[in-house]
Amino acid sequence: MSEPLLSLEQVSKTFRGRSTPFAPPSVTHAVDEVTLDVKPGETVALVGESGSGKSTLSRIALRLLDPTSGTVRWDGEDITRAHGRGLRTLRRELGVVFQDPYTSLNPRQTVGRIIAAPLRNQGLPRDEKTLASLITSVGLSPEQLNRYPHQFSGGQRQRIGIARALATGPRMIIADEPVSALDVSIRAQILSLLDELQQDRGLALLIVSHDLAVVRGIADRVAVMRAGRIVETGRVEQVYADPQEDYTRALLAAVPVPDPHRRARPLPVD
Amino acid sequence: MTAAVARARSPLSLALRRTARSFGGRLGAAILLLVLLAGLCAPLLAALEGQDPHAFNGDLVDGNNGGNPFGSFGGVSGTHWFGVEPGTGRDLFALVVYGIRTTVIIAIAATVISVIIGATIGMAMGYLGGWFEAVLGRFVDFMFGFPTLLFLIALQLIVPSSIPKPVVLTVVLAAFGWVSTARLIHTQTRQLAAREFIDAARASGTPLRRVFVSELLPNLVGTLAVVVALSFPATVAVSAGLSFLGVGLDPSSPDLGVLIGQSITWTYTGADAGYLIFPSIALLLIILGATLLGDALRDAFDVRTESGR
Repeated sequence: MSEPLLSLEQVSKTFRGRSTPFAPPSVTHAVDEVTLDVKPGETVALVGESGSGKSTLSRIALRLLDPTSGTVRWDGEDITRAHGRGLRTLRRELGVVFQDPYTSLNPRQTVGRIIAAPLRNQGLPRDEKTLASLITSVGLSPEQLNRYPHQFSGGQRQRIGIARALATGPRMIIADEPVSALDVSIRAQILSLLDELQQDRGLALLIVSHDLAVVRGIADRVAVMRAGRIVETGRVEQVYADPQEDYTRALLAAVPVPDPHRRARPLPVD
Repeated sequence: MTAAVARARSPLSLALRRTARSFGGRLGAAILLLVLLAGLCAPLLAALEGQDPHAFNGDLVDGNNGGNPFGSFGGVSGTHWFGVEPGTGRDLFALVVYGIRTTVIIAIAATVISVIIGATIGMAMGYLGGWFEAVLGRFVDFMFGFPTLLFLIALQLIVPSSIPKPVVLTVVLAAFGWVSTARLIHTQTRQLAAREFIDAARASGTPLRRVFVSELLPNLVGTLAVVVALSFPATVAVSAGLSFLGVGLDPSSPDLGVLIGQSITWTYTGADAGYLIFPSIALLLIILGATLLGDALRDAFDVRTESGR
């Protein structure tokens, strides 16, 4: 087995509310001692209901948020407290696709500038040819580089977001709910694009979703998160066929069934 | 048709086009341009009239009648288009065009300085957050509740006379004008900073300076344009007000506020209203034009923030 590319060890994040004279500050354990590895070329799905801490965890992995405790490793190197130059490698090798394509692109910049930004940050060449091949790889055309985000549909915007994530030739991409803001009709397109790019480039992919149906087709492994903890992990077939936890079963039962006669019964969560 | 598709318009140019199409925007810009041009060409216009704002014409005022100008409506004539100043007999048209110039230069300088200060502080507060935001936020609150006018009056009295009065006035106006800009930009920056494109910029390792200049600032340009257009007339009014109260510029300098301030006394004592009316109209036009333009800009940019996300 190869060494993990991204490794989160016993990572916790607590948020403190405002303290009042009569009550101690409220403490929220958004992420509670979570350990998770992603190996090169592997697709891992992080699933759980909203508020389960999966987005917080992905923001910690991206080093956008400092963990309260625990260790974040990238390619074996401890980057938990790294800043600025110390994160240069991570910034180049780890791309991110955000949930909301309407707020994740700067409305005042052309698509070309948006895609070129990571290259600029890394001091890499950002000539027209590079940008053209990037935008073509996500199914858009080079003429669209001069346009502004408001001229695109949600699905196209998400493609732009993916092109940005791919710009610096990353080894891994974190996709935080990449399709939940999109119309159902174009979700499959975006997912298969991600899957295709992952296969072609041998990327590792951490895909965060509240929807088990979304990740089933593309993930190798699944980690189920609830209330800040990972309650179950395993190969995707195994977790789907034989869930060990009630919570996972409830999540699976919540997946809508396309056949109206074969209605699934919702399971209660204790 | 393909050419039309390929030409992408930035949100900024779209908003500016909306402003240029609106009636208020056009009218405001036209008025403002006219008055500013008059101020800019003050020496030229005065020369065209054949007068000098500093020349005293004792023969045009009636010393036996308290120094009131001869002739009707403050001595309006073919040689003195707006009449003359009571007492000194200085040409009022020349005084007004030079006065526009003084007033506008001071107001523009003060507005630009205060907007730069306010935008920088507001952006830093909104993006950096934490204790920085807390401390500066208190300071901004303090400045907001400060009795500015009283302080300005007191300050003008203790500043050494070796410093030119226009400079003092500009600095003082800027030093108190930035507060509301900082507040507005602070709130807007906070909203922007919560958007995912800022996270995206950070996740790709964008240096702090570039986050401010390339990511945040372009999204604040509209707000800043509106702030400039609306705080300029406010600054004009405050600076004229200070000169009116006699704590702004020297009484002899050609400035709209000074002229209006002095004309009040003359009008009270029975002089023709011309001395009051001409500088007042000039001041009114500046404020009206800038306000109309500012409102049109605000409308144009607000539309975008509502619908365009």
